Amino acid sequence: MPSTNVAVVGIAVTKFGELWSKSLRNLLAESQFAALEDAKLSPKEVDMIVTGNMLAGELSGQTHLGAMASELLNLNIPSYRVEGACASGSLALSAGINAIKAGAANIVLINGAEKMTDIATNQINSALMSASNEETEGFQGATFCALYAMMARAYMHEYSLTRKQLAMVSVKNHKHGSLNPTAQFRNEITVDQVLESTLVADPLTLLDCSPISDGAASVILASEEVARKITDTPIWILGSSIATDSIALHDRKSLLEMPATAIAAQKAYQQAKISPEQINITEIHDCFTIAEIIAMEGLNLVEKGAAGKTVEEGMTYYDGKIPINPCGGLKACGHPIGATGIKQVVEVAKQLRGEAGRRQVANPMYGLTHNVGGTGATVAVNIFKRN
Amino acid sequence: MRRIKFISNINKRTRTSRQPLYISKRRKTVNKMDQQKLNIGIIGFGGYIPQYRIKTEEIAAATNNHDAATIVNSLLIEEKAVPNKDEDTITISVQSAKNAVERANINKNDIGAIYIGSESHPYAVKPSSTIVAQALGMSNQFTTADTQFACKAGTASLQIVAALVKAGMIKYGLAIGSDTAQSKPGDFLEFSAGCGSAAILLGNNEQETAAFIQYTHSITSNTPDFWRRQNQNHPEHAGRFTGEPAYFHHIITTTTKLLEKTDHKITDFQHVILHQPNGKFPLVAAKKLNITNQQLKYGMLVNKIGNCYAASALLGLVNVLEHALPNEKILLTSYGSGAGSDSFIIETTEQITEKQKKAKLLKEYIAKKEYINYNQYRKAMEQIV
Amino acid sequence: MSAALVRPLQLIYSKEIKSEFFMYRQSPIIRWRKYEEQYQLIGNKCINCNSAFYPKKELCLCGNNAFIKLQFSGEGQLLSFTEIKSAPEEYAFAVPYCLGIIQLKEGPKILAQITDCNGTDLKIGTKVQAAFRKYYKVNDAGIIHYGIKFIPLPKNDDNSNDPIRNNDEMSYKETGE
Repeated sequence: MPSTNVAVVGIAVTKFGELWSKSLRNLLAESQFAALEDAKLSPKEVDMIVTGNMLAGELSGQTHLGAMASELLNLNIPSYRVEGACASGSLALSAGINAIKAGAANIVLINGAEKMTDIATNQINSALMSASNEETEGFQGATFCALYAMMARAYMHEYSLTRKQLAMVSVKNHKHGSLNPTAQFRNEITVDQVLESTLVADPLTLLDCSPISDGAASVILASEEVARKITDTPIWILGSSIATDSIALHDRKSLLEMPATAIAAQKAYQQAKISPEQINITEIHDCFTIAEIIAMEGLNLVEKGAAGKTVEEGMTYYDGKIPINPCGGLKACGHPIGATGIKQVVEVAKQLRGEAGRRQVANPMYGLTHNVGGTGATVAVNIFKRN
Repeated sequence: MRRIKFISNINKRTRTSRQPLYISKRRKTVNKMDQQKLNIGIIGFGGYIPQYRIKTEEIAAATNNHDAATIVNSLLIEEKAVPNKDEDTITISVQSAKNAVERANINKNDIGAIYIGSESHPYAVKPSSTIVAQALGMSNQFTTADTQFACKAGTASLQIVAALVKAGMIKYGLAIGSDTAQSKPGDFLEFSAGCGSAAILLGNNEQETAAFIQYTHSITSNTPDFWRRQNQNHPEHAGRFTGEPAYFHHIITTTTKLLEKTDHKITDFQHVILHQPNGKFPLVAAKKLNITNQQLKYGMLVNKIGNCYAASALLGLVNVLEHALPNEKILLTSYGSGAGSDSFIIETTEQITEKQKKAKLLKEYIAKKEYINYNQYRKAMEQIV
Repeated sequence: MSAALVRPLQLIYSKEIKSEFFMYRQSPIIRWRKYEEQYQLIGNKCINCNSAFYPKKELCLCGNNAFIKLQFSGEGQLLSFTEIKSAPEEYAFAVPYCLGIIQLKEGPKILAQITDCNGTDLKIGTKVQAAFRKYYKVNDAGIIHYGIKFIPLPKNDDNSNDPIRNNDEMSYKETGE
């Protein structure tokens, strides 16, 4: 018996930022309730919950988030927490999809949530390194900015990417953030500001790097039969794939690409039976500006070495030929780690539904999300289609 | 006016007051001691100096001591070596020991002892040598304990290892002197407290012997010239008392005693190494002992690297061994506050020339340098506690 | 992955954030298991296809799982590097410091700090040599962690001048009494 199609039938995202008065529990509650409202479902109709989160144990001392998500809705249903560093959200999505396809559930609530700002900056830097290879990267004093900085340096050495082109990624994302009410940063910035901001790990500056954020996002998935009953605007998941690779950056064959991106993308395109040119809106994992450049090529949206030029020509704005990160990306929208993967799905769904307001991409049919864990040890690619 | 005292075996008088002991030209009898050569082989030797330097004038300017020229003239130290933030007694010992082992050309697993002398061991309890030995890849079939005796901890280690080798208890042993010297900001010691490590590998192996330790003599006294309490970061000292009754008395007495008991004259030696707390003291002591500048030449490093404390005398020895010719005689006397002196007579063999080229030379470390300012210097010192 | 930088600058460079490091960072046991490997740069080599790995690999890419111990020479060259200005808490004292990905002579790549240099001294392709150095200490009473870092090699190695031998005059003045 062929497995059912899966659709996104409800979406929600909280404001991202330094949300001092909100705890992890508050964020999870807000996001879950809002998604249920959007889907016009009551909690009792949910069969299963999967929550993606990375650092609740280390930063809040609270693991066992599956039970927390379920108790917030006064339910006794199966509820999981999954972790894959910054790809936790997408892994949660994947688990939900699989459960529906296996016939284990009809309606699954997927959350992504993270609370980071209760802890001092350099302690967070340390905590984040658990997403790297602890012994061979974290223990050596690496930070993610440093690892991506080394990729940037190698990439600039090999291809003709300029520092200015790299900065333009950030400028574009901030422009999008200014059009997104839930984004952490609403201010527009200039290339000069990026170049002149503090060096964090040479050559990346403060404005090349995504911030520390709090936030949560939720989506509700349903099997085809159920989806058609409860909504007129189901967003179909045509392709969903996960690929993994060595945890450590230096254990991969090259510093210039993320093999897992290409592998996951290829599988997803195959499942969806479409080609990269057909994608109308992409949410790329821009934890650092260089990540967006490298991913554009890994996802086959542009040719190898051509990403810099594409950005420079303004083609990746929401009203350009290849819209990327219309919500502001990780840079401007914010990056509460576990929430990001789900926020990306929410954004694509909004765009495909035509509900994206001032940052609406013109008439999109297909959307793609790209979510990365670490420096590319886990990559998830999902492809969506409007009804 | 020299004071002369007779000392004979029969009529040993204890001196009631601490008077410097001068040598009479006329005295003939000495304490009869065993004058047999020890023949303990130096199989390997090596040193290490970190690459950072701070100039005396930089410290003088930063500590508002405008009289930089006078300080340089009185101390005869131009600049001193400073460890990087990630260096300490353990890491610098690994480096010098690696060089010594390279020169030794032996199986590391046959090293049966390692003794490190320092006044800046990172742990008060847990010998630096346990970590150094593992970094070197030694087997764990060896004995060890850390030693401390101010600036003569290195030579004290040398005597211990020499004894173990001579007694046949071990085949090879490593004696290391290392220090990342600390000094209180603004204290005069800031101008001289340096950083370095020297390692000597001893053993019983005719073919690989570069030099022989033939004789040694030590004296020890209870002299409160310079000390550091257990939980203090910086040492204390007694000012001018560290000169005559401390450094000079012990260096001169020990050296003289050794020469006497082994029937040597100062002119027998091509090289003489004295502990170098600064550039001036050894020159003054040399004059008293009739040591020439030519003899001191290769053993004097303090001008460029500062006082490396437990490594000081041994670094002088390493530099001498890296330049000496076959069949030369070396005299070495260290001094450690508290106080004591170890003196050695060492003779090079035909094999020394071959050995010299086998590892990085001390002069290469000394020549490779990066100057830092006082702020950077104090930041580096913060990591050494 | 996010970096760290929304906070005011003073917090980035603040040393006042003293902390008890998170549990695993205080444990001496976790690092003790790897002392030999870490201190001596020992990995392994597949006996089937001769690929070398650091640290040791459990399952070779060729499918074989039998290996022999291999000690690396410590020679390598830089594939990429960066200078870190915002560090994890245990390395906050060391800022700024350089980090590099090094291709070891024997094949595998390794991530390590590059020490005894400024960021401006380094280039992609710079030759480096392993050195045993201190990593960090778990506060003033805790264990001190050591391991391997790399030093850039000077361009021409034979460039040593003896300040003593080549200068027959004493480099210091003699004094009389």
